[in-house]
Amino acid sequence: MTCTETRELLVRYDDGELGGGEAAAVAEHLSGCAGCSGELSALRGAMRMVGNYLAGPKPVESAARPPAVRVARRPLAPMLAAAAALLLAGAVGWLAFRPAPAANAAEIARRALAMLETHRNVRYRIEYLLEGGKVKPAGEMIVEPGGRSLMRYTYSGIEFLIGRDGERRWTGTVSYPGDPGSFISFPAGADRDDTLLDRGRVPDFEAWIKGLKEDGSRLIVLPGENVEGRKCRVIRSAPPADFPMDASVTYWVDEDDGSIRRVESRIPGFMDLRLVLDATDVPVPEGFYSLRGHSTDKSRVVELTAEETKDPAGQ
Amino acid sequence: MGFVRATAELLDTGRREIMTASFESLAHRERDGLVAFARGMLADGHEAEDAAQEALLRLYRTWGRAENPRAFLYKTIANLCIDRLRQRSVLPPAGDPSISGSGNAAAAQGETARPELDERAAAVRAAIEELPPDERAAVLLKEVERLSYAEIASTLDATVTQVTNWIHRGKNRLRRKLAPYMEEGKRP
Repeated sequence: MTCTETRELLVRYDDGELGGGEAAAVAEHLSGCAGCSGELSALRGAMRMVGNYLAGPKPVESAARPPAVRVARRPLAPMLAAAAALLLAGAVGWLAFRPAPAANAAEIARRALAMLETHRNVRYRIEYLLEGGKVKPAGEMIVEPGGRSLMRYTYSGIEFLIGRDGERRWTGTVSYPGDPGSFISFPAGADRDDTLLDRGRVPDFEAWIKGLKEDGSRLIVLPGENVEGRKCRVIRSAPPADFPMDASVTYWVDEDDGSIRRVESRIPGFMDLRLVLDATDVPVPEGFYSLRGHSTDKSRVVELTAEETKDPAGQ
Repeated sequence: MGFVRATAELLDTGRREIMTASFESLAHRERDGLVAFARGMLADGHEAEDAAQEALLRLYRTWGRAENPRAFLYKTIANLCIDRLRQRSVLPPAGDPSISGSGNAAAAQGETARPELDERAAAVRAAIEELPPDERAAVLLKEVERLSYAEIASTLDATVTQVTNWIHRGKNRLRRKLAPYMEEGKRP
């Protein structure tokens, strides 16, 4: 390679934008050419000066520096759990959320985590449905026969962990990955309809439909569809007419064994999620989940992991 | 049906809080990079702060809809800066109080008033200012954000070939302009 050719490629070489062959040829030329090596040094030196200039002077804490954009911030509240649970409304009804004042978050989490011992769980993938038909992984949900479940997914950089105790109660944490101080635990909540939680099956279709209607849902029966070779009934549930948001949940229920093969939860402009039946008879990955954090009023710390369950304040 | 209302309110509150918290988290992470980029583009510390703020506000208004918020942010700030540069080209230059070395502005930014530092900073600033807006944006996205050429192309709505040419020309111009000052910098 000549000096002219090398210098033509030098910037791309330094930016790591050359293919292996070209990069190797440039490197070889540089090793034997003081002129071109000097030019690379000069290039890097100039970029260092630019970098130093852009980094700017260290700001002093003063009014001269405008504050970062802040919007009115309240602490992440237990409503988050309600919202998270409702988003996956396959597991709850439109009217399902209700507080469970008697429930103890630590106890619910303890029960949810006890399912780590079972290997007969059903696993759902959780996926985002994006514009243009694109799908992006969001997390997963593991449901055991007794109805206990663990769900983990991220939304806009926030990680949600939600555990259910098999008695229609749930708790969970929300956190920002990379910000260890951001754990916040939800107090407990309760579901009314935990059909999906019973190992992902609808044992009695008619009773399930009746339950959904009692929950205030408007139901639409759509034409049956095949999902991965299984013939499914398709039911779309919309919230009651006076529900102030546009939303729907669609279920694909296996005609033969009643398993819920797929659920799509759509809240336009907010979050469209899909649960896809992924595997049965799976263990919960060891160490995969931990539920920990502080209560929303920060008055007590709850720390629950697969290995141990402790609540320093004793609740 | 009161309970339905309550549920909807909870959901809506939850949504706002998720949005707010996740937005703030991103804004916190990206703000310094945005300011550095805009500072390079505009050669004005205060305008850079304004542009970063504006880009973050625009992101906030669309929060939850942008598939790649970070890409949205850089596309927005690149466009904001390029627009401001074009406006400037038809207006008399305002000058840069933050880098001029004049006492008050430098102090406001916490700069030490060392003439040598000011001279080098002024040289870098002048060299960057001589780059046409597209070259400037491409070089700064590379140097500040370490984006790949393909990512820069997507941010600036350009082709990879265009970006390659911009960065090649831009960096070589900077190398030539700054060479005398690097010699100085090598002295103990």
